[in-house]
Amino acid sequence: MAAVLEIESLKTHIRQRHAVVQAVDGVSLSIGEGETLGLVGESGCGKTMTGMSIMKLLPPGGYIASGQVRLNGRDLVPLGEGEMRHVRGNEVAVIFQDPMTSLNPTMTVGNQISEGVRIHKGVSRAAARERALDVLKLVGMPRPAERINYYPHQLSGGLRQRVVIAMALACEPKLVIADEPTTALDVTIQAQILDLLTELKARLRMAVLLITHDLGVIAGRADRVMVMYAGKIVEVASTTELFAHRHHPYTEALLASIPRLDQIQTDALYSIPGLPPDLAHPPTWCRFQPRCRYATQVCRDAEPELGGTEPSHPYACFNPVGQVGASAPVGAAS
Amino acid sequence: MTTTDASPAAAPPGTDTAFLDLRHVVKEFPVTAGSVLQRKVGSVKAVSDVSFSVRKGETFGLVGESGCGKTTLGRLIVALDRLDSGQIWFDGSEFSRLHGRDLRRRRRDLQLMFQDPYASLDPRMRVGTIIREPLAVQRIGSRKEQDARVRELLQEVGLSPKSVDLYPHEFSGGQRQRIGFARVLTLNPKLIVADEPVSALDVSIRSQILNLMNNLQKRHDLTYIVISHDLSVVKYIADRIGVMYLGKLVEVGPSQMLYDHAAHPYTAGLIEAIPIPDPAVERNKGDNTMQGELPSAVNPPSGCRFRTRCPRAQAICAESEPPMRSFGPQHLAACHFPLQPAA
Repeated sequence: MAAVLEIESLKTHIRQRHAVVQAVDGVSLSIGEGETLGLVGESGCGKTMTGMSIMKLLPPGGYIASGQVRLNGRDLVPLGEGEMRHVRGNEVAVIFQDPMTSLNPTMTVGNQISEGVRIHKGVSRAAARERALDVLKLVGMPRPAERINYYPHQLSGGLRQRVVIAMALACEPKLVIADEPTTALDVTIQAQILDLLTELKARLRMAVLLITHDLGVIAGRADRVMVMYAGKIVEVASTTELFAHRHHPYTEALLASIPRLDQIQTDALYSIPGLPPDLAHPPTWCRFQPRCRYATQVCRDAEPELGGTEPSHPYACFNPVGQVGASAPVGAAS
Repeated sequence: MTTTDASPAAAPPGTDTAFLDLRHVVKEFPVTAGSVLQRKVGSVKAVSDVSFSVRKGETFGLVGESGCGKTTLGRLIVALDRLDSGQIWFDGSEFSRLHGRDLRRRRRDLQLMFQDPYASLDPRMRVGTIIREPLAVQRIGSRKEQDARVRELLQEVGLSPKSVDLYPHEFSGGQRQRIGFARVLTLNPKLIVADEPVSALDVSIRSQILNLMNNLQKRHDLTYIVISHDLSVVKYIADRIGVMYLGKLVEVGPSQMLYDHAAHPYTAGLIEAIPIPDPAVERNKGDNTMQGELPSAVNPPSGCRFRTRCPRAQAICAESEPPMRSFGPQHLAACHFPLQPAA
C-alpha cells in the first residue's frame, strides 16, 4: 500500500506572549491509499493541531518547528503560501466539525462548491457547476438540481454537512482530513454521514485522517488508530488489535470511562483523576504519570519512547497494561 | 394495564403518589410573519400531549434528536416556560397553576442544570457570589450563614473552599460543571432537571460528573430528570427512559428493558445509530441506518409523526395517531406496528 501521507517527527509550536506551547511534540504517522487512520484523544491533546499542520492552517503564533509532512513523497513544510494554496482543497481537503460555521452564508451551495473547482482545475463556470451537481449527487443530496441554488441557512445540519463533504471531494483530493465530522450532528444523522464517508472513501480510494474524541466512531470506521496524549502519540495499532489488547494505561482509562450502551453497568464508571500537563512547560518524565494508576518510580525519572515488542503495535509506556503484577485492569468488560 | 390514556398508565404500578406528574402537557410557539404587524401564521408544536410521571428518588431520562421538544419540556417542568394546556403536578400540588409569590416560593424545590458550563456561569462574578446568589434572591440566612453554606457546597461537589474568590475562567470544563451543580444544590432542591449535563465535556471528564450526580442523588434523595441526545449516557444514569419524537412521547420504559426490547421503531433506530466502542460489535451492525431527518414541527406529519422515516409504516399510520399501549410492566409505546407483542 503506497503511503499517501507520511509525517515524520512533526513538532508544531504556538508562540504566546510569555511562553511557547508545544502542541505537537514529535508525531510520526503514515496513511495509505484507501485507508482510514483514526486519531483520538481529549481536547487539547494536539490532534486538531496535527491535522492543521498538514494544511499549514495554524492559529496566530503557530508554526512548524521541525519535522516533515510528505504528501505523495513531496515535503509540504518548506512550501510557501502560494504553493500551499494549490495543495489545499485540491490535493488535501478538510471536513470541519461545524457545518454552521464552515460554509459561507452569503454564497449559494453551488457557487461555494464550484469556486474551488474553477480555481484548482481551471475549468469554465459551466463545467464547474456541472461538477458541483455531480458531487452533490455523489454525497446523496436529495433534489440536487434544486438544492444547488440554496443558501446554507435553507438546509438542515445534516444536509449542510453533506455540502461540506461535497466541497471537500469536488477536486478529488488524495487525502481528506475529517476533524470531528459528526460531533455537531444528531446520532441518527451521524450514522448517515459516517456511512457516506466510508462508502466514498472506498469508491474514490482516498486516504482519510479521522480526528475524533469518540471511541465509538473510531471503532466502526478506522482501519488503524493512534491514541494521542499531551502532544505525543502514546499507542498505535489496528482498530481490532487496539480494542482487544490495549497496552497503554491511558487507552485503557479512556475506554473504561465511557458508558457502553450494550452493557449493564452496575459499578461506578472509571474516571481519570487530574488534568493533562501544561504544554508550555512539558515534563521530562512520562506525561500521563500523575494520572496513571500503574505509575512507578521509573515513570517519574524518564519519558518512555514509542516502542515495545510488536512493530505493528507500538506503545509508549514503562508499565503497560496487563504486565504489572498486583493491579487488575480497570473496567474489565463484564 | 391496557389503557389508551397515557397519564395514569405512565405512573408505575403500586406508587399512586407520583412525585412529578405531567398530564397532557402541550406547548406551542407562534410563528409570525411581517416586520410590523407580526401576524401569527402557524405554530411550532414543541410539546404535544405529553404525559408521564416520576417517582421520588428516581432518575428519569428523556432522549431524542435535537428539535424533538425535550429541552422545552424541561423548561416547562421548572416553570421557565408556561404550558398552553395540560397539568404538571409536583409533590402533591398543581405546580403549573402557581403564579407570582407562590411560584417563587415553590420554585426552589425544582432546579434546572444547564448544558454549557462555559455559557451558564457569569464570567464577571466570583464563584462564591455565583453559588450564594440563590440564597440572596430567596433571602435565606445571614451573610455569615450563606458563606458557610457556600463552602459546604463546594466541598460537596469536590472543589476546594478556596475557589470562592476565583472566577469561572480559572476552572476547567469539568470543574465548571461542578460549580454549576453547587449552585443548583444551594437551595436544597428536591428535583433537578439536568439538560445535557455532560455533552459539553471531554469523555474522560464525563464519568466524573456522572459519578458525582449518582453520589449526590444518594446523599440528598434527589429526583433527576436527565435530558440528553446521548442514549448511552442516559441508559447509564436513568432508571426509566422516555423517548421523544417531534413533540410526542413515543415510548417509555425501564432503561434496560427499553434497550433489550424496544417496541417503537424509532427507539430501535436510535439504539442502532449509537456507535459502540468495540470494533467487533460495530462491524457486525447491519445496514439499517435510519434514513431522512426530523420533519418540521410546524406541519408535523398526520397520524403517526414518525411515519415519514419509519421502515414499517403503512397506510393506517398516516390516518390515525397510534395510542399508547402497554408492552410489559411500566413499558409503554405508541405504534401501530410495534417490534414487540403488546401485553
